[in-house]
Amino acid sequence: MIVRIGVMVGVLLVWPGAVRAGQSRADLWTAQRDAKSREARPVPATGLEDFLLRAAAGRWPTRLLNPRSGLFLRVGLPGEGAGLGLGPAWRHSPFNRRYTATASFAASASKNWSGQLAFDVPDLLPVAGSDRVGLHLSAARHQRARDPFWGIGPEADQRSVFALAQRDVNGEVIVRISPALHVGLAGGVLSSHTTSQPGLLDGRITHVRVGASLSFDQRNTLPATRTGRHLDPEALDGASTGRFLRVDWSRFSDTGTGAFSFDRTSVDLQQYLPFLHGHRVLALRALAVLTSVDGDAAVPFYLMPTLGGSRVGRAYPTFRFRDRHLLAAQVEYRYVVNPFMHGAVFVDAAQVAPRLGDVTWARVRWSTGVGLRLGVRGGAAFRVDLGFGRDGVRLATGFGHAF
Amino acid sequence: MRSDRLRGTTHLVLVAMALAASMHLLALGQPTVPRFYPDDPLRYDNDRVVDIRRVDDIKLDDYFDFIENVFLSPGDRRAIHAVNVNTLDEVPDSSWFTNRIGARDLPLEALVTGPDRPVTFGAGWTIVGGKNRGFHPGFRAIDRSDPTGTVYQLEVDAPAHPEMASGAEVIGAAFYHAFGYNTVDVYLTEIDSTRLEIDPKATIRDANGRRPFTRRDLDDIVQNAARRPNGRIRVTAERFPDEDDMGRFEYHGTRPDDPNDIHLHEHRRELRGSRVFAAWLNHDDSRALNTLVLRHREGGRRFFKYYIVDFGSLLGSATRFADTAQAGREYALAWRPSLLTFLSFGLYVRPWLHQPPVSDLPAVGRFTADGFDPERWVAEYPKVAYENMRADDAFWAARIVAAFDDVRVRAIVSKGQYSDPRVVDELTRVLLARRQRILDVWLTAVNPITHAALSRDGVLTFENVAVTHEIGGRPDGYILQWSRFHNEDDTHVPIGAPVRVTDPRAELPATEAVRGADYVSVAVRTIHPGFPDWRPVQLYFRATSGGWQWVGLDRGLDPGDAPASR
Repeated sequence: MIVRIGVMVGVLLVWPGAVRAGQSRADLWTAQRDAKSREARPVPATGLEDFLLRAAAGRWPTRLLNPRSGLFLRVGLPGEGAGLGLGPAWRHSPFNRRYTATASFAASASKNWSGQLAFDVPDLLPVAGSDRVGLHLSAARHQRARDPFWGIGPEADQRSVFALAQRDVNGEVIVRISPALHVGLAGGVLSSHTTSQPGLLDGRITHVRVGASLSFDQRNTLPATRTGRHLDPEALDGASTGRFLRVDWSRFSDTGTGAFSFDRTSVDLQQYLPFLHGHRVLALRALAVLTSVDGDAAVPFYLMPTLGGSRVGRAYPTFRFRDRHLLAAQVEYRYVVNPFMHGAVFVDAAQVAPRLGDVTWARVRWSTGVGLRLGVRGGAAFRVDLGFGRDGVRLATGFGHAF
Repeated sequence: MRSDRLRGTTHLVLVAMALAASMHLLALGQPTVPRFYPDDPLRYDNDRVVDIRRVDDIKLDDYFDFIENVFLSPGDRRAIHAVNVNTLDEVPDSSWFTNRIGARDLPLEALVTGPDRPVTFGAGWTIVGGKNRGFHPGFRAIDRSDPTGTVYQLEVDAPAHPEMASGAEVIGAAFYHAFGYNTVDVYLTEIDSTRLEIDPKATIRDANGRRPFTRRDLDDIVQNAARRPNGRIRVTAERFPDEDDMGRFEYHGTRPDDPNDIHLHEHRRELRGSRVFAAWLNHDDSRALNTLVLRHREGGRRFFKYYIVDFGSLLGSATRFADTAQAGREYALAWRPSLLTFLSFGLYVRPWLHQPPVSDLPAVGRFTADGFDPERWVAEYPKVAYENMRADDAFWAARIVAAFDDVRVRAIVSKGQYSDPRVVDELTRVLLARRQRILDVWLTAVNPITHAALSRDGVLTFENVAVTHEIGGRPDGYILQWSRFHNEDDTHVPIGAPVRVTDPRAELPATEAVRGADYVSVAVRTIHPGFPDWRPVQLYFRATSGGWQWVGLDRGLDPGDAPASR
C-alpha cells in the first residue's frame, strides 16, 4: 500500500512543472537539451532558400549576365528601335584584366538583330599611363529588317518601312584627364546598305569616321572601381545630383562619291537637382544633334538624328521624326517610391529641322507622361513610360533611364 | 510500536499528500507549476552542456532572409514573456550573452577595450585572400611581424567619408560587447599600400569561380580608399576567428544542429531587447547577415557561441555612404507609404524626408537625434525578435543603456580615433540625446521597480530606476501588499492590508503568517500621476538560513500584451 501511494505521489510530483526532489531549473533545461541532442541534425536548405544559396555561391546573376570570362547572355541591342535583344556572348579576360575581349550577338523579337564583337583594353598603358589611357575596339553588324520611316522633316507623316544592314568597325582611345574629365579620339568604318520603299535611298554607302569627344561627368553615381567601370558598369544606377556634359564631334566621309559626307556634332547637357535628400530629383537635359554637309552633299536619312521612341519624344513612335538637326529639352521629375521602385513625371520638348533657322515654337513636339522604374540605387533596370502627345498615347519600355 | 506509529503516520502523510495533490489537480484541471526551483534565480544558463559533434555550416542567404522576413511570416509571434530570462526577469549569462555593464563592475578601460586583445601591428601586411562577400571593400591579410600568423580582414573607408565606417566598426564592437553580446575583436590601424604584398596562394572568388588574387584586385581596393594626409590608408583589422565558423543565426527559430539552443530566438530577451540597442546606435543593418556562430572547444567539450558582428553600418554610416534618411525610420519595403507616394506622384512626403541633411563632418555621415522615436525605430526589414519585443524587454535593455553615462559614451566614441575632434563631440552629443529619448520612453514603459532586497530583520528596499535616472519625475508613493507565497501551487495569501509608503523602503509585517514562511512576496504599486497604467510589480523573497533571498520579480504583463512596437 505504501509503495502504491508512494508511486502515486511520485507520479504527481514528477508531473511536468512540478518540483522533484533535487530538481532544478538547470536540470529542466538540460533535459530539454538532451532531448534535442537526440534529434539535432543539420537541416539542409530547400526550395527557394536552396536556390538562392546556390545562386549566391555561384554568383549566378553575374555569371549569367556579366562574367569576367566565358559564355554569357547578352541583353539589349544598341540604338533606338532595336527592340528587346537577347543573344549569346563570350568574353575572355585574364586574371589581371589587362584586356577584355568580348564577342556578342543579339537578336530581337522585332525582326531586327545585331551582332557585335568588342575588344576592350581598359588600361592601354597601365604603367606609363598610370591607368589613364584606355582602348576600345569593336566590330559590329546590325540587320534591321523593318525600321519605320515616316518621312523627313518636322511635319512628315507618310508611313513606310525600310531595311538597313550595317557593318561597323570602331576604335576609341580614351584619356582620363581626371576622374570627371575624359577625352576620346575615335575612328572607324561604317558600311550601310539599305533596301527600302521606292523613293528612298537604296544601295550601299561606306563612311570612314573620325571623331573626338569630351565628357565631363560629375554625377553621383557609385564610385565604381576600375573593374566596375569596365567590367561591371553601373549603367543601371541613376544620378540624383551633379551634372554631365558631353560634346561629340564626328566626321563621316563617304568613301564613294562623297555625296554623303557630313559632320555630326552632338552636345548633351544634363543637370540633376535633388531635394528631400535626393528622394525627389529634377533631371534636366538639353540635347542638340547637329549635322553639316559639304556643298551639295547630303546626310543619309538613316544617319539623321531622330525624334520619337523610348528616350527622346516618348509620346511618339520610334523614328517618328528625322531631319538634319535635332534640338530637345527634357525635364523629368523622379520620385523614390521605395528603394526598388521609382516613379517619374516627364515632359519632352523636341524638334527636328532641316536648318537651325527653321526651328519654331509651333513645331515643337511635346511629350508629357508618367513612368515607373524598377531598379536599385536610383537605377532603372526596367522602365515603363506612358507618354501623351499629338499622335495619342504611347507606352514606351526600356532598360535604363531615358537620360 | 514506534515503527508502527511511524508507519501509520507515513500512511497518513502520503494519503494526505496524494489527496491534496489530486484535489489540487482536479481543482485547476491541470498540474501546478511551481514558480521557483531551488537554483532560481538562475545566473548562468549552461548551454554548453551537450557536446556538439554533428555540425553543419548553416548558410543563410541574404536575399532569402529578406524575402522570408518581408513576405513570409516566420517564427512564433505570440506576445509571451521572454523565455530565457531568470525569475528576476534578467538574462542569465550564456553562450549568447554575458552580463557586463550595469550588472558587473566594468572599469572604463575595460569598457573601451571591449573584445580587443593587446596587439600591435607592424607596417607590412601580406594579403592571403580576397573578401568574398559584403559591400565593404577589403581583403584578408597577415601582419608580417606577427609570428602567430593571425589572419585579419582589413576594410577601407570610402574617399568621401574617411573614418566613417571604420570608426563605426570599432565603436559598434565596443558598445555591443559592453551591452553583453559576443563580438569579434576589431582594431584600427594604418597600412602603406606600397608595402602590401600578395601571397602567391592568395585567391578571390568572382563569377567564374576562385582565381588568384592579383595586383589589379588590390589596386581596385586601394584606389577607392580614403587616404590620410601622409598617403597611408586607415583600415579596420578584424581578427579572423580561429574557431570553426558555423555560419549565422536567424532572429527566429533555433539552430537545428545545436542541441543547446533550446530557446526560440524570437523569444530570447537579449535578441528582442537588442532592438533598443540597435535603435540607440542606429544599427539598421542588424540582421542575420551580420551575425556569426562559432564552435568553441573548452575542456574537450565543443559548443556554439553566438556573435553579433559587422558594425560598419552603424551611427551615421552605411559603410560606403552616409546613411539614408529612411534608415531607422521606415522599412525598406513599406507598402502603404510606397503606394501613397506612387499614387500621389511624390506629393505625399514621408515624415522622415524632413530630416536634417548629412553632417558637414564626413566621418559622421547622417546621424541625428532629431525626430528619433525609440518606439518607431525600425531596422532595414522586419525581424521577428524585434517585432516581439515587449515593454519588459525594452525596459531591460533601457536599463543597460542607462548605465552609459556621458563619460562612458565619450570614451567609447573616442575609440574611433577621429582626426577631427568635432566628430567625437557630435557623435557623443547625438548618442546622449538618443539615449535620453530611450530612457524617457522605455524606463517608464513598465513600473520601473527593480533591485529589491529584504534584510534579515525584514526591511524591504527596492530601486525605482526611473527615479534613479530622473525620468518622469518622482512618484507620489508606493502601495505595498505583502503576501505569504506558496511556491508549490503558486498562490498568495495576503498578509494584512495594503500599506502606503513614500520612499522605496518598507518593513515586512511581523505577523504569524510570516513566521515559518518559505516565501513571502510583496506587490508594489507605484503611484505616479503621469503613469496611471503601471501595473504592480510582484517581488518574491525566499527564506534562507542567512535571511531573505530576493528570488523573483514579476512585472505583471499578461501573455497577449501587445508588443512594444507601435
